[in-house]
Amino acid sequence: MAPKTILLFSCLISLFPMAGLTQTMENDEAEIWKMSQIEQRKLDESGYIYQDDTLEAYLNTVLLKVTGTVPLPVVPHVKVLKSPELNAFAFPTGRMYIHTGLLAKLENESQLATLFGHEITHSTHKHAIQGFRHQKSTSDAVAFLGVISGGFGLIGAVANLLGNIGYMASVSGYSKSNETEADEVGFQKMKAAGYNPAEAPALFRILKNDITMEEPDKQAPYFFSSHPKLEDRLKNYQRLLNFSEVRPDSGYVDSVFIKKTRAVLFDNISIDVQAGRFNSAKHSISIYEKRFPGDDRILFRKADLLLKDQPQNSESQEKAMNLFKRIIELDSTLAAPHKELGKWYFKKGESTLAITHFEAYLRLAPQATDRRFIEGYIRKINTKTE
Amino acid sequence: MKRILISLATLSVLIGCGPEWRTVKGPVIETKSGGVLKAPTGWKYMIKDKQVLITPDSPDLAVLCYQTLDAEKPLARVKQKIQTDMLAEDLAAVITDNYRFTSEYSQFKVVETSPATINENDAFLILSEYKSTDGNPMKMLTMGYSKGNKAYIFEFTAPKRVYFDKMKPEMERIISLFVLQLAE
Repeated sequence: MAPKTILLFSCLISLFPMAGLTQTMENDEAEIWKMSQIEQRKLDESGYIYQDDTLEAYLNTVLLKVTGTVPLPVVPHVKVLKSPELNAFAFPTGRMYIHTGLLAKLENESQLATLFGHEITHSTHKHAIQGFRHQKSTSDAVAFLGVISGGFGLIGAVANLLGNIGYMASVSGYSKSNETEADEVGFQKMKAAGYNPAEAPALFRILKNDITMEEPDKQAPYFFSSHPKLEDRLKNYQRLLNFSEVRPDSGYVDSVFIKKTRAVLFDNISIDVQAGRFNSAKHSISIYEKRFPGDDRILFRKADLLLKDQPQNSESQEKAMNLFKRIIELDSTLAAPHKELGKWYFKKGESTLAITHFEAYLRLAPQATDRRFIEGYIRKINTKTE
Repeated sequence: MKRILISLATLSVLIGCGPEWRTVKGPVIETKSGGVLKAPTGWKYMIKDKQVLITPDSPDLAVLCYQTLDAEKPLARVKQKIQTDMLAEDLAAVITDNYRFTSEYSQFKVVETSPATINENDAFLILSEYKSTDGNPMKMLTMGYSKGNKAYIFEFTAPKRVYFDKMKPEMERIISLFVLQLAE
């Protein structure tokens, strides 16, 4: 079946809930399915879904290429979560979520396929129900189906939204043997779909390097942000690769992947900055500049990063202001740089320049939610000069 | 944090220890920051660490949370930090980013930000909406200011329907009467 046909089929399936399909399941499995569907709905309605239909369609085409035909009632489908941390996870239903943070770090479709192959294996091989039954036999079952795990203070907003199924899929991971199985089956799937197997360990090498960028005590709790778990993946995929025929490196550049993920790479820089993940933002900016030289929109991200990363460093602030001036030269219709320049001159006591930029901001963004703030600055300057 | 505190309060009733809801009989003083809040007599309040919760009758219907944040320490949900003597608008931006990464505030949306004055200091006001973990539409009024190496933050939260608008004037009055006395 062609990927587009499978995609249409999976959309139709998702419109009609699992009526009847769960009837063939044992009680505990049906319960896990119901819990998964509740948790998925919670995530879908959380406001954390990254809205980009073109990207979502592309990701689902890749996912279906990797998974091929899967036994019902599992229906592979992937959505993107606005979250800067490195993670992806799948529910037993086949619904998968990938964080913008992880997507922004990938280099090509083969790495994406590796991730999808690993995750969908957890769904098709029923790792959640195996985990539950194992815990049942070790008397942890009540805890498993009881209160949600939650309680991740710093960062990890998505983790706080998860219930027990999502927690296992996203944070704790499955048993070592289940994870190894997901590595092995996932690897075969990505290879069978025609992807370059050499990219499988490369994916985990990138992730491993990336998690060292932020301070170790402030790491997110997610499975793919865990150093030992990434180390396990890396070893497993390297072993699998050693037994495979490897395509020679032809310096292949995955232009489709790079084009389709352009917006998410760009947007995740802003998400990183909001979350205070400044090193990661810096790294993504350099990747973006390499991939898309001459795209001046990146200047705003760079200036925003300088402002927030080192607010007390006058040299950085000066650099940021020069970037804002450059942005205005390139596009005089943009409002935001005027606001930042207005505030900069306001703090420096340069009233005329401050007012010029504040007025430009209000003219270019008449509906701005912070309009009254800007009017307040202007009033304050006028009161002082009167 | 506020929710954790409310849960702690409920738990403390059950096990008979920990912070308790007390009846307001005069100014409520948070000694660590020196913050003094003048709530109407007969309302309930609770002090835990550096936070004060004030409610007319039930925190589920309307609650005001006062807390201080230290400069150079990351916030609860983001690694951004409060700076010493921050511009009120910049402080509002950091607080807003923190809300955006707070999963309890589902579909968080800023309706308006504007300047304000608290205790004769330049302050910010953020009016926002979100859905609670139970899916109820909520409204939140956040006000605050930065002075020296501390930020003083007030959050009034209530269900969007009826309670927020009903209680907003009284909560704004409490915030407007806020003063600092010598801290511990």
